[in-house]
Amino acid sequence: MTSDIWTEKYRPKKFEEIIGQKEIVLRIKSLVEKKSLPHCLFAGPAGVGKTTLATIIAKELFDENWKPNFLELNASDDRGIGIIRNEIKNFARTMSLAKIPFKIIFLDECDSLTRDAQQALRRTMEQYSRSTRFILSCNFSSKLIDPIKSRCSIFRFKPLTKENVDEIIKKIKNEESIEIDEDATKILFEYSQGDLRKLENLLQSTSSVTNKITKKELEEIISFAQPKDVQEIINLALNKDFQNAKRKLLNTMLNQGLSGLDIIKEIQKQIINMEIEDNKKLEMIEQCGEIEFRLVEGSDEFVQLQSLLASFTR
Amino acid sequence: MWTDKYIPELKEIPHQREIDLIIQYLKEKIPVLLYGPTGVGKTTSIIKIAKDHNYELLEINASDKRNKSEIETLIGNATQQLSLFGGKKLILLDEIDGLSGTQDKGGIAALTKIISKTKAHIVMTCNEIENDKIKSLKKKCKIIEFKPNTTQEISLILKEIAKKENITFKDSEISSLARRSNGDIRGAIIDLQVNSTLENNLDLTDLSNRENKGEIINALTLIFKSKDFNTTSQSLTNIDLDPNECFLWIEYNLPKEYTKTEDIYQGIKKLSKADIFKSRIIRRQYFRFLIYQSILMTAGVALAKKEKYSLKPSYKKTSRLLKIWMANQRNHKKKLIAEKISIHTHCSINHAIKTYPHYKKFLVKKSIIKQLDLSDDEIEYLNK
Ligand SMILES: Nc1ncnc2c1ncn2[C@@H]1O[C@H](COP(=O)(O)OP(=O)(O)O)[C@@H](O)[C@H]1O
Ligand SMILES: [Mg+2]
Repeated sequence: MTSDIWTEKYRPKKFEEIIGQKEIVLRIKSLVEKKSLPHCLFAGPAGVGKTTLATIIAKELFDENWKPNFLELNASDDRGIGIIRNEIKNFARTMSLAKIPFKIIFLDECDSLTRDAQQALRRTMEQYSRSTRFILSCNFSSKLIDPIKSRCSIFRFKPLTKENVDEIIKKIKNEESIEIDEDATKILFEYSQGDLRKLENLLQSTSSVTNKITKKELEEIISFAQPKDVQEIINLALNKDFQNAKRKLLNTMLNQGLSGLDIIKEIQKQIINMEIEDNKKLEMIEQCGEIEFRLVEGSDEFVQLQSLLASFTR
Repeated sequence: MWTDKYIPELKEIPHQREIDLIIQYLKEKIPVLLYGPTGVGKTTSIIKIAKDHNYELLEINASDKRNKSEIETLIGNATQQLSLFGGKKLILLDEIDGLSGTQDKGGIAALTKIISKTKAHIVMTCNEIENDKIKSLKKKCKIIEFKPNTTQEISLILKEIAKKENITFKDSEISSLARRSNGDIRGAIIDLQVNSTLENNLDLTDLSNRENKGEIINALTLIFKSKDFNTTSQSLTNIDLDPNECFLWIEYNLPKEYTKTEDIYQGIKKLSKADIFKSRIIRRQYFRFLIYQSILMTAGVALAKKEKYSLKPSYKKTSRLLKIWMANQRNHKKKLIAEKISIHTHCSINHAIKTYPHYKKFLVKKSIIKQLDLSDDEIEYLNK
């Protein structure tokens, strides 16, 4: 059954369909042909084909039998490795039915695991390495502890290029009979920054409104998907309206379910692009760094962000 | 209850200037809106005015249901009967900021419309004047503030009552009761009654354990109003309230008291440092850090201001925790949808929540609703 959600509908099903990432695909393909897969670590930004490649590996190795031999888990949702370990245990206990002597466990977003959880994961990898292969995926391999990295073959995925992105746009255009003009194509690339999941979602949203996609329609949808709340919060603070900045901050965090870190990242991004005096900009960025550090250290998000806003009012 | 036994006479109420104004406006049939915190004497004043000036009082308060038609009927009746029998009616709509959005649908709007059309004797009361709900209503009436009663005013009233009840008391005890009432006469009278012993002595020894709210408000007053290290750093020592809860009180009320941006900045800076120590305590289990946390959040905040502020806002409990709870309720549906997106598109639930606006537009397509097996509730949420 094909999905009506485009990220799934257009998810490549064979090595050949993967756009870009050529060297990686070549290396993996030969490993799969030899049926000798090491543990793998896929590192790289979102929406560039990490999950896709992992599923293709399973399909190629196990054919129609791939589902029972492939376990997909997401480290960021299940938190604590405890749950993961249980699932892994149950999955790895039974032997693979196929001719292949191992099963595959795909653990996505590993960089959200704490160090303790990573240590536990490393032990689990050792424990089951005879019957399973792990494919780990993360955005930044630097967030993983060395013992894990040293057990894996590391593949570094790159953001897709303009040509790559144009290729997928063309494909969708033909398949869905929609029109996308030149300007819109440019915006799609700029906004997605090579993240195809973002791009396909944006396209599908826009096409649910019109099938003649121009810059204007895209921008409308983008501005809807990128609420201006954070900008407004900064502006209120810069205008010395602390009370309202504070109120808006709380509402934004609550209504959109954003964490303190989400907010500070966005604030920092916006400040970089703002037209303010250089010294002020530098000072604000420095302050962001300090507050972000405090958040990472476990301080109260709302209190620390308030102190950031208060510093903007000066 | 002494609060019922000792309802003051009109001329005994501390707000004489306000009362004169009300009487004046009523004569001219101009609607009046009184605002001020609970227990300062708004309702009492109106009841007494009605009595002394021969109005028949028609009162509806927060416990009654007040939707559009009810308000129309009430005011309509009052004005009609006026013409039939010639007697004067005074309509009191108490605590109108308690008119809830859904239950009393259209209540405020109807009220606004009626008072601008009808000539009647109408008085309304509310706690918060800066409430969006009554924005347009405000323009249609005269607004009179009932300030919290001063400590002296309350002391006087308390002493009167104590004398009538033959209670022996020290002046300092009475003023202590008055001070901690934070301007609420009713609260002060209740305290007086409960703390009078069978032998008719005033005994305040275990007062502190019963009423946290007064205590924390006193502590806040100390912190915000003074600039003295020793008194302010001690202000939370004998309070029967978790330090972290005190922190929330200070954090919430700071920008209400300090209005100069530099003072806010310096104050919040100290609070954020206090918060850092709090997280260090948790992480290192090193409890001596508590000293730094508590000095920073008290004396630190007190000394953050350049000059003292003369205005005294009424300190309130933070609504942040309540808001967090409500948002969680709301976000729960979003999370359910995100879970389904996550299952069907190989991304994490967290990711789906964060990028939810990307999906919102197209998930409502019939085939996708079916594929994700979205419930009616979830579809409704998507369509919002
Ligand atoms: N290299 C690629 N070639 C073709 N489509 C891709 C590629 N990378 C991502 N996509 C598209 O984006 C979607 C998400 O990609 P995915 O592999 O899940 O990204 P991630 O790298 O975050 O795991 C896929 O379903 C597919 O539609
Ligand atoms: Mg992925």
